[in-house]
Amino acid sequence: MSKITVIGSGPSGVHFALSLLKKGHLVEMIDVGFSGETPVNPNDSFNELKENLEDPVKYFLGENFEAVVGTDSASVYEFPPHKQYIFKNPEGYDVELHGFEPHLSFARGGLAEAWTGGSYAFNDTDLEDFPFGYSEIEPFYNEISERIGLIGVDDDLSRFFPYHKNLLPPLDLDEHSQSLFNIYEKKKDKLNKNLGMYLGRSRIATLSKDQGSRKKCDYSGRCQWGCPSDSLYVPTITLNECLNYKNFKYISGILIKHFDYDNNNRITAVIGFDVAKKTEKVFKVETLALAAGTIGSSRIFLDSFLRKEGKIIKLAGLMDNRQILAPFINLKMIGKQFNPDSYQYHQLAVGIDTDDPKSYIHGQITTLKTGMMQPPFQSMPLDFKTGIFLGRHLHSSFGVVNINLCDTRRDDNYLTLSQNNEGGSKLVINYKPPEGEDKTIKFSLKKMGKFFGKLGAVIPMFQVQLRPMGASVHYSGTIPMSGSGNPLTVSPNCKSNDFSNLYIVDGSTFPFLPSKNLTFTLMANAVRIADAEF
Amino acid sequence: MKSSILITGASGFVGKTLIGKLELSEFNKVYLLVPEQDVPDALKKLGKNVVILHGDITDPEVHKIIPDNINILLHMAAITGKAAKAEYEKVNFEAFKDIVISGKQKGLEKVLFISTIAVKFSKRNRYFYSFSKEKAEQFLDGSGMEYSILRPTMILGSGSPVFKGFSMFAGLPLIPLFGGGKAIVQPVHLDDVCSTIIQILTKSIFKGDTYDIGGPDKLSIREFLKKISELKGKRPKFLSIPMWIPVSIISVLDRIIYSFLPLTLGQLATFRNDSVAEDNIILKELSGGFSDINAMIKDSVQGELDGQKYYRAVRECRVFTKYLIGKKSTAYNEKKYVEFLSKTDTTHLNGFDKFLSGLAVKSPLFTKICDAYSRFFFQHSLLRKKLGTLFAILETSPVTYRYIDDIGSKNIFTILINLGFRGAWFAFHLFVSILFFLPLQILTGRGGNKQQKGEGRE
Repeated sequence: MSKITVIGSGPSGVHFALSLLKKGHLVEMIDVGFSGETPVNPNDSFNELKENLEDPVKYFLGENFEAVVGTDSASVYEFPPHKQYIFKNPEGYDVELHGFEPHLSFARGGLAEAWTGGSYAFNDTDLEDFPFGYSEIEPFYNEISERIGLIGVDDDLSRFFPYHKNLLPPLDLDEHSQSLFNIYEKKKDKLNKNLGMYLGRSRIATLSKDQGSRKKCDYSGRCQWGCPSDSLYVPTITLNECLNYKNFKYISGILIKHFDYDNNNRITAVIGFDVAKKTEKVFKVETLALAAGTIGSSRIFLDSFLRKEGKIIKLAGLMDNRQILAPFINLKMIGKQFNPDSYQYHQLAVGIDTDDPKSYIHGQITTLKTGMMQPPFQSMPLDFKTGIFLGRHLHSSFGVVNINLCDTRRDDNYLTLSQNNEGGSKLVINYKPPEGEDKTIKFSLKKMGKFFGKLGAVIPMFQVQLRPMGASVHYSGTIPMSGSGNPLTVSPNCKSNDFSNLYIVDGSTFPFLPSKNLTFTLMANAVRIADAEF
Repeated sequence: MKSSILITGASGFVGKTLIGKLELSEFNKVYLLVPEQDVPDALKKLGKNVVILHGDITDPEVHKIIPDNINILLHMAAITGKAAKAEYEKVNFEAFKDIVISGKQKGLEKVLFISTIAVKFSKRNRYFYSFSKEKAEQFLDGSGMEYSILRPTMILGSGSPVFKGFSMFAGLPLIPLFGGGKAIVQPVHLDDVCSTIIQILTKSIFKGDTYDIGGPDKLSIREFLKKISELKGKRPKFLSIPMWIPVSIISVLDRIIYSFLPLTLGQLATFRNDSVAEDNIILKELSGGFSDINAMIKDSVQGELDGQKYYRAVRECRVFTKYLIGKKSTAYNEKKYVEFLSKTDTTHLNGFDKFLSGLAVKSPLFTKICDAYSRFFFQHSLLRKKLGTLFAILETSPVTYRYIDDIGSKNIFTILINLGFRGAWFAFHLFVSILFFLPLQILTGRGGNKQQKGEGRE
C-alpha cells in the first residue's frame, strides 16, 4: 500500500483517486478547491425559480448584474453568477497569452463543473497516435460509464464513437430536437450518401435512472444553472465519494507551485501556496500524480525545472478544439410555444465524415429552451423592441450547433515561462491555428448549412461565431504519451520519463485531440493508469 | 421578562429609520402594523420575533388582527400634509383611540405617542392636523394607560416631507416670506428623534409626561430658508409679505376651495408661530449629541437629490419597459433597475450620448428612435446598456418573464405579416434617426460604434 499525492480535483484527478482508494492506497489530494453554493430551491423548475425566489434577478444576473452581456459581445450565453467561482483565479497567477484565451479553473471539480456532459469514446482512428487501442481502454470507458451515469444509444453516430457497455436509456427529446430527428430519419439515406453527415443522440453524462443518492433528470430546465438533483454528472460527485474513504485526505486552499526533486530525479516534495494565509507550505511526496489540467500541470512542471535547474524550457504541442457556434432557425418550429420544462443542453449530435477519418468533425446541437434571450439580442441587427418580437416568436425554433474541429500537436504551440521582476514566473502560452484551418471551417459550415437546410432549418451565416482558441477548454498535448522514453514525455501508462515517481494523469499526455469532447477519455485514461501502475 | 410591542407607522418617514436602529431582539415579539401595499423591503427581512401585520389603522376590523399580550404600543401612524378635517380626525384621533381601546382589552399597558409641536401653537385657525393630534393626546391622558408623548418640532433628514416644502420655497427666484419669516424654528434631525424614541422604550419611561423634542439650533424661517438656498448654490432673494395679506386671503379661500389651495391656513401656521421645544428631562439628557442645523440641512438636501434621482430612474424604467414589452413595469422591476443604475457606471461617453439618453426617456416612441440609431451607429451608448440590462431584468422577473416567453399568435402567417410590419416600422425609425442624429453625431466629432482604446465614460 503506497501513498500517492494527487494535485487537482478535476475529472482525471477524482477518478484516478477513486480507483486508488478502491485498491486500498493512501491518497492525499491537494487542491485550491474554490467552491460554490448548493442549488437553491431544489424542487423548483427554471420558471418556478423566477416566481419563488425572493430576488430572482440577483440569482440569474448576479449581485452586480455581472451576467448581463455587454453591448459588444457576441456571446450567446454567459455563465450564471453562482458558477463564476469555477473561473476564479488565485491572486498572482500570471499568464501571458498569444493567440490563446484559456479558461482556467481552481475550483473543486475543475472546469468540468461547468461542462455540458458530452461524453464520447475515442475510436481506434482517434487513438492512432496513442500507445494503446480502443480495446485496451474500453473496459475503463465501461467503468466510467457506470460511475458517472451515461446516456447513449446505438445509432448512426456509433460509426464515429463506439457503442460500449453500461449506457443508460435516453431522455425524452424536447419537441424541437424531436422535430429535427424525425426529418433526419426520413432523409437520412440521402444525407449520409450525399453529404457524408450523420445525426444521432448525444452521449451525455446525465441520469435517466436514479443512481444512489443521485436522482434521474426531472426536466427542470436548470442544467446551466446547476442541476439540483445531481443527475448531470460533475466531478465533485466523485470527490464526495472519495471523501467517504478513510484512506483519503483532501487538502484544499493550496495552490501547488512546483515540486522539488533530488539528484536521482526523484520528487521529494511539492511546494504550495496557502491562498488564504499567503504562506508557503511544503508537502512530502512518495509518488506524485499531476491532475491539475493541462495548463495547471504543465505550469507546475515548468516551474519545477526553473527552480531546480534555473532553466526555462518549452512544452510544445498544446492542443484545443476550435469551436464554431452556428445558430439556426428551424422553420417548422415557428409559431410553437417552447417548453421550459425540458433538458436544457444538447440532446443531438451531428458528425461529418471526412476523407481523413482522423479529421472527423463533430457538432453538438442545442435547442433553445431556458437560456437567457438577452445575450443574443445584443448582437441582433435590430432595435431591442423588434428583436424581442422576433425572439418571442422564434424562441422555440432557435438552436445552435457547436462545431468542433480536431487538433494536432505542433511545435508552434507551446507553454513556457518568463521571469518577472519580483523573481517569480509568468506562464506564457503561444498558439497558432493550423494551416488550412480556414478551409476546414468553410467546409464544415457549408456542410452544416446544407444539412440543416435539408432538415428545414436555416443557419444565418452572419451570426456564426468563431470562438477564440482556448474557449473549448479541451486543452491537451504538452507532455505526451510515447513509447520513446524521450524527455518531456510520459510512458504509455503516463509515468514521467523525466522523474521516476511522477505520473501525469490529465490531458497533458494526449498525443492527439479528436473533435470529440475529451473529458470522458480523460476519466477513462486516469482509471487505466491507476489499474496498470498501482 | 421581555415585552411585546406593537408599532404603527413603521413604513413612514420616521418609522423606516427607527426600525433599522431599534434593537428588535430586545423584545419578545415586535408587531409591525403596516398597509399591505406599503411594506418596504427593509421590513421583510427582520428577525424571527418580528411579525408584519397587514392592515389599515382606520379599518374598523383592524382590532381583530391585533394580537393578545401586547405590552407596549408605539404609535407613529398619522396623516400629515393636506387632508380634509374628517380625514385628520379619522386617522390621527379615531384610529388611535380604537387601537388603544382594543389593545387595552388584550393587555396593553404602555403607550408612546408621537405627536407634534404644533399642538402648542397659539395661532392655529383651521389647523386640523394639530387639532386631531391634540385630541389624541387628550384621549391618551384620560385612557388610564401609562404613557409618554413626544412632540417633535420640524423633523429634517433624508426624505423629510416638511423639508420638501421649504426646499421648494428656497428654490424660488424670489422667496416670499410671510410675516417677514420671523417665526422661529428649531428643527431636529430624524436620527435624533429615533434615538429619543429608543431611549424612552429602552428605559421604559412612561410617566404620563409630554416631551418636546427639538434640535440644538433655533433660527428664524428667513435664516433657515437662506441656509437651504445657499447650500443649493443660490443667492436667495426675499420678498417680505405682511402676514395679514395671506391670512385674510387664505381665510376666505380655505373655506371655499380648500383642496385646491397650494397653501392652507393650517400650513401657514408654521409662519405664524414659533416652533420651539421647551426644555425637559429627556432633552437635557440627550440633546448634547444632537445634529446641528447645518448637518441637518445637508442631509435633507442630499436626501432630496437622491429622491429626485430615484424618481427619474423609476420614470426611465417605466418608459423603457413600455417600449420593450408594451407593458407596465412592476415595483420589483423598478427596484432592480434603480439598483442596477446605482451599481454601474452610468456616466455618458460624450455629449451626444447624453443627448440620446435624455431624448429616449421622453416617451417609448423616442426610445425606439434612439435605440434604432444606437444599434448601428452608437453601440456603446449608455442607452443600449440600460435597455440591455432592463431586458435582462424583465426576462428574469416574475410576471414580466411570462410575457417574454409567451409566443402570442401561433399562426405563422400572422407572425410573418406582423414581422414584416415591424421590420418596416423599425427601418422607418432608423431612417428618421439617421436623418437627424447622424449630422449631430458628426458635428460633435465623436464616433461611438467602437469604443476607442483608453476612452472611458466621462
